Amino acid sequence: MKFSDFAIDESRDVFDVIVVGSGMSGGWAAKEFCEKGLKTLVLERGRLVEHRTDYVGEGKGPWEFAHRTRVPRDLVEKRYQVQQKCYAFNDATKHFFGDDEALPYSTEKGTGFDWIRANQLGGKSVLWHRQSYRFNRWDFEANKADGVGVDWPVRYSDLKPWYEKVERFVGISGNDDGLEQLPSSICQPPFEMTSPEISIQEHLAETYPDRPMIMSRAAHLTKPTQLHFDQGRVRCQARNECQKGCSFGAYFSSLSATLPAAAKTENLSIAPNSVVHSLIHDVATNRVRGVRVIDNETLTTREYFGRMVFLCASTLASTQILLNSKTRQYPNGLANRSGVLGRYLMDHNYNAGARGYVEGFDDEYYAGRRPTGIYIPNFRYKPDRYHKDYLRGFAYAGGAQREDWRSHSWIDGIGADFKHQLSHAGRWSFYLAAQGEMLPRVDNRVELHSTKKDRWGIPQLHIHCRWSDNEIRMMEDAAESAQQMLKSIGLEEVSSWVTVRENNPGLAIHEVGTARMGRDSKTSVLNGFNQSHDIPNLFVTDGSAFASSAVVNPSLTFMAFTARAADYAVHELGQGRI
Amino acid sequence: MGDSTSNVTRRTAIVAFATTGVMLSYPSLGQALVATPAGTSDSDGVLLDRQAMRSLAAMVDTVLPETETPGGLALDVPRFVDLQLFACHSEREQRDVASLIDTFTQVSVSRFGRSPMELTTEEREQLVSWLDQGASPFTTTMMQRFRFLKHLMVFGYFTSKRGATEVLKFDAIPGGFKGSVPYKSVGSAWGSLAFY
Repeated sequence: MKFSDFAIDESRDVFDVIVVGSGMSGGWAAKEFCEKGLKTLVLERGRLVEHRTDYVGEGKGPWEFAHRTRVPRDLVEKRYQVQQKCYAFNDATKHFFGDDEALPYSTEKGTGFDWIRANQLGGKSVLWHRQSYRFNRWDFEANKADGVGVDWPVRYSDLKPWYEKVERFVGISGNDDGLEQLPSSICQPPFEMTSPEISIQEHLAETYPDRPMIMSRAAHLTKPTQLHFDQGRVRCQARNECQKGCSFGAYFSSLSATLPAAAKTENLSIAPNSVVHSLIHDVATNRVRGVRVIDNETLTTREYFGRMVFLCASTLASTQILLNSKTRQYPNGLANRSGVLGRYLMDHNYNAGARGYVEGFDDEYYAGRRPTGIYIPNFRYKPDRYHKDYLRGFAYAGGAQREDWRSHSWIDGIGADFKHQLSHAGRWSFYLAAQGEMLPRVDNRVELHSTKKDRWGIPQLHIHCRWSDNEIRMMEDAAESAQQMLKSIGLEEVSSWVTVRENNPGLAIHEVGTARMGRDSKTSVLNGFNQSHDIPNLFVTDGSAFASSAVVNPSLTFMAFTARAADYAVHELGQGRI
Repeated sequence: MGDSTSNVTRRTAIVAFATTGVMLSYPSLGQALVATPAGTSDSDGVLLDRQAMRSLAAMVDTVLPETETPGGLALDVPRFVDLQLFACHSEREQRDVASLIDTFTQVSVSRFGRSPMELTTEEREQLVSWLDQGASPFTTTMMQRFRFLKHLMVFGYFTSKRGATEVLKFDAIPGGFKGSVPYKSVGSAWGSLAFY
């Protein structure tokens, strides 16, 4: 199977559904609709990427790159000034990142936002960090309890069966940890901890019994089922080079899993190089009829038509499309009678932590490159556990590993002894890095720039985003707490960091909000099924829909919401209400 | 703007020549690829001139000498450092390194009466140690620049094929992750890393 077999250019067909975007959310929408028998058109603004054959950086040693995986300075300065801030950006992955020169945006003075892009088939599902956690019940109740933002129109119990469905298909490694702050997922066997991690886990259980340390949950197959073999996916080989693409299909992406599933049905069409300019709205019926597209390469225009539109273009891109779909009825953007479209932008705050050295374990090592680490779930997960100085909480990601030449090379020394030291594993170090919730704030928003347009003639996004005092105080506490925890178990040379004042939001690549769900159409864009309050056959199921960010990595929730919305939409279509 | 564009074009072209195996503009890389004996590569680099390349080779040979494993010269580390600086690092870093190597050469001549390549092994170790410690006549700033340069040498050494696969243990497809194995069963640090 090749995705190119499903590619179309012009089409006069009226599809049952048009799915805009082919990443984490779009892949799920495509799979669900195709499997339910709907003729489905997936629009992708970038090129096709074929699973396996287009993973051109995969399986190469560093010496096989002209600059040993570094990207030349000229290229970075010209095309990747923002993208290069992502930890996964290098010469083996750069073709999966957007070109900053072609994808300009601006930020309001005094604010900033680093927008990481992945505009080709598969989207950011190819580049993601694969951490997979469910929201807990308090995550859905927090806005109401704290009087912040709007109440989520859904509760944990609404999403639970959809988490289960998604987890079975995706394949998540991890444990059934039995924690109320982090509902257990349907898991395959976890990755192993290293010996120092097991020791730290035991010691922390004594010094901080309410902050359990667990093995992280990650979308890697450790014991694939027939469902996964049928997808053409096999067990994770522990290379930890996922962002180059994985021919084993061992981590979940839309290229390895959902799009192939959609393709099996014969209901799938894909229109690559289709940059959506705006949606076509029919005034008489108050329905969207289709989309206006500018060709990514030729800049020619075309239209596609469908009975429903699912926007899965990524958080800011879906909102940009709606903002640019202005009509006489919707002068501020389609589906924006509430006026909140573009507002309440959030990210996660990855700007604090602590590290230290673990003495001993000199005879211990590990084999393979574990593509994930340890995790301490949010221990400030409900109002009676909040810190007195701020709302909400944070989780820690972390891990223990032995130092190697990458850090040794900065120490003093020359000659045979130095070289010998570099060739051997060094001390064990351990770190905890905070992942904090960001509150929804009305001033953190995106709008269309009044004059600047991109090469497709689409107004650029102008972004206003900054951390609030709540986030700054949280990071200070997260650093201090991590430091205390590491000291309490006897780690050496413990130090901490807080970088929230230096780093813009955006780099957690968990941007959510800007087309939020809510119970009231006057204060929200979408209802509890990701359906526009204003236009019944229009859905937005990517991160735009989030009413709060919670603490956990959002992709699993994008997928669960998308599968649930697709099921609802098919039902509503059958009832003649769409 | 016009100037910077043409510089960019020129830089890109040079890097392309130097890294695609087209040896016309960069003959010494061809020599290096056929296992240049230590210290015999003798020509201009893309950033550094011939004299600076010689001094850099003396530094590399002192920081990463041949032992039971190959030395930095056998793995062509000086050429790597020169090209990497040119292609991937800022002009300021390039100037700092060039100036450091220049000072290093001058100190060699003023203290020992000979250029670095002509020093005895002991004299070279003495000179590079001063630099590594920031000892007189070198300064703390020079020491810091040297640490950066040293990191670049080490990066080049362990990301080369022999450095990663012969000096260290390289496992392209581990087949799974084991959290605990005896260190001696591996015998050295892993050379196969997720991020370099």
